[in-house]
Amino acid sequence: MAEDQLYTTTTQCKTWSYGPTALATIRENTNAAGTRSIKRGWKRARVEASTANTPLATTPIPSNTPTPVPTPSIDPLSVPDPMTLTPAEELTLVNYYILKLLEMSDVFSFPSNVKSTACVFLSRFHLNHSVHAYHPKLLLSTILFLATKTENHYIPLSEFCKRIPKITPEAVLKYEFTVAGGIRWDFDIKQPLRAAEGGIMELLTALALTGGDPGLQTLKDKLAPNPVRRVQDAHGRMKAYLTKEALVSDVYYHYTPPQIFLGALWLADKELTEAYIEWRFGENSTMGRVVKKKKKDKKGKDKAGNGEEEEAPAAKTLPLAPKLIPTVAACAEMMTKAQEYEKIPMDVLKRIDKKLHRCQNPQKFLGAGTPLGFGNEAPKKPADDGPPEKKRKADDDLFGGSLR
Amino acid sequence: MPSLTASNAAAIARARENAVNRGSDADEICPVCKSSRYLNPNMRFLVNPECYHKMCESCVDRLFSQGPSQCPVVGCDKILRKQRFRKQTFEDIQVEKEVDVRKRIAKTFNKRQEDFPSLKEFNDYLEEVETVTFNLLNSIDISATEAKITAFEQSNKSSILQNIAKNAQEQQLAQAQREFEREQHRRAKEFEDQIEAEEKRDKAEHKANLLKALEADNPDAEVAKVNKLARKKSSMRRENQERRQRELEAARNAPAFQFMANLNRIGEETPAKKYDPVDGYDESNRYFVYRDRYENPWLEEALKSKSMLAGGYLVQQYCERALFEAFSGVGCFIEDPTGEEDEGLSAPALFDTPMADAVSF
Repeated sequence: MAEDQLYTTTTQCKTWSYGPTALATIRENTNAAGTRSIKRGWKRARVEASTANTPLATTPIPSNTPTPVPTPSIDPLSVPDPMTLTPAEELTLVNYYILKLLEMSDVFSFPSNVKSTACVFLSRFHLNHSVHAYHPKLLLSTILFLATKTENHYIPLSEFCKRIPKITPEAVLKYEFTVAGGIRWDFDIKQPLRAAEGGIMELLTALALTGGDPGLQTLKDKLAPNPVRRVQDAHGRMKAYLTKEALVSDVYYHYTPPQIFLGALWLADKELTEAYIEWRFGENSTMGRVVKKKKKDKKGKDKAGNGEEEEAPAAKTLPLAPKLIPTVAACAEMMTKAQEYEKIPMDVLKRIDKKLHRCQNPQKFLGAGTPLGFGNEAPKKPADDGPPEKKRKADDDLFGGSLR
Repeated sequence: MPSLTASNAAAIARARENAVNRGSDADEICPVCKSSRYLNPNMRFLVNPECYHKMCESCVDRLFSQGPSQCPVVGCDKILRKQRFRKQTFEDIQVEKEVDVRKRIAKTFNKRQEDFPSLKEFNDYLEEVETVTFNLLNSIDISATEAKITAFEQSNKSSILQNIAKNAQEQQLAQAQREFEREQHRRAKEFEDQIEAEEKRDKAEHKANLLKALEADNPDAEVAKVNKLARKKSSMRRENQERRQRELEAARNAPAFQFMANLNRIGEETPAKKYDPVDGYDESNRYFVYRDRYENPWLEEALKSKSMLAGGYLVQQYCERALFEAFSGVGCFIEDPTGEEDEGLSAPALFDTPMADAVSF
């Protein structure tokens, strides 16, 4: 059980794996928290506006974008609270920006592991941080740059900024801490990419073997006439799924990397995947171990290495295939559904963004107040220094405070 | 000037050395009767903890045999009693005095840390005790300090007595433990000595028997017999030793005192587990075995490219890692947690940048 056991020790398994219901609950909670904070902000802005909205104070609030100038006739109390985004709308927006992130990394032609890491970062960040508070567009460059560092694909920051219009090193680094904290410092993403390479390698190598494994023979028969060609074709298509559909959907939360790669392979070639799973995890599977013929193998190929001593321990446990196949099918299904996110028309997205804009900028509609959300700067509260400070000092004193 | 200083320093050093060698002048002459050690080699100096003025034994006898009397030192009006005179323990009279004061203070102020709600309170108490001691030593506010001590003594009579009893008990236990250990050591030593003596005796006997056997008519048979006898004896002896060793061990482990029994029980409850640095993980894989080489056109190039190989790139390692990842977690199925588990998962408070920080200013 070594492989599964090791996977269960990763943060991806421990903190970032959820069932569908748990994931939906988390998204709802996040959305509720975001909505609450927007409501609070509007309430405050309303109070400010009603006190400041005398005829003298009707000068428009300076802002970089042209906005409708609030006329004195606007009564801040009559403006209704903005409609906040639903969890589904939040998800749509996040997924749109994941697609943007993919485009952005194509500008640099980053390898697919950097791409995937960046997308998973964004998805994980917004799992617990509502877009009401953190607009994804502000975080894109930060996340992409963080992903290059995480995946050991070094690119100097100045170089990075040159390739994207209207971006400065300061802007990239400004949110880095926030993002890193938001993903709980779990930088290592277990991706299905290398797993996929491994799986294909195993498959191709096994096909090249001529052995007495009956499972392998059935696999070859199923893939006839040209098994190798077929696997190679599927490989290419699978990679495309892994670098797009897998990232836009929730599969990283619901499935483990091998399952995701099998899901992508399923989409590429269903028969092949089924045959592969039956061969590796079905009944009577040798799990790739060479079935030993008692005498002859003694000095020949030590192919199986240390595995040779324990002959087919899989026979003792239940075969994995009956459980694995539905799981992989569900994973594939989820990835297919993700394709719809690409087809979402632009005006729907624009509507959502407009809604968000209204939520975050009460000052434009009420005539007063501060913009809400993370990217919009606001004066900070002065630190509250008082009695606690004194107490701390007394505690820090080497011999304690003076006697009472 | 420098030379003068140097000679001065040398003189001081010499004087100090002399003082160390034969005692300082103060040790030689009694400050009261001015008789010197030269005339009376058995002269002993005594002090009274009342005022710590030093005088010789004969002066004490002469002045205080008739009953309490004033200290003969000029300017000291303390009334001294003969029975309280004693021999000085420390050369420095200040140290002598401090030890006495501390002894007295410790008797009264014997609170322990567990008597206080927190460490800070305990430290404050210690500081106050130290202040009292300092005042007594340096004669600052003597009357006020004494009053304070008396007041404390009055109000904490019962707890002081309790703590004294507790201390005594602890000391008794420690003493018993020491005694017990010493006894164990002694027994073990005795046992070893005995074994050694027995071995020696057996050896000598064996040698004598052997010589006797060689003198006999049929030396070979006799020698064999003697050897057999010796072997039998030695094995018997070993058995005996083992038994006694066990007995000794049992005696050592027997709960001689109640606290000893407690000590042993704690040890039994948490048996030391064997340390496993990899925490039960072994290298065996369940779903696959590594093959020697894998079909991969990309890797063919890497295998031939000198620049890759020189950099330390190992194709084998890449293959192993990829293979491992291809199977690591296939058997893990992520499902919705049942029951109370999902509360911990969905709590936003766990996160480093909580929502509320960002929006509510």
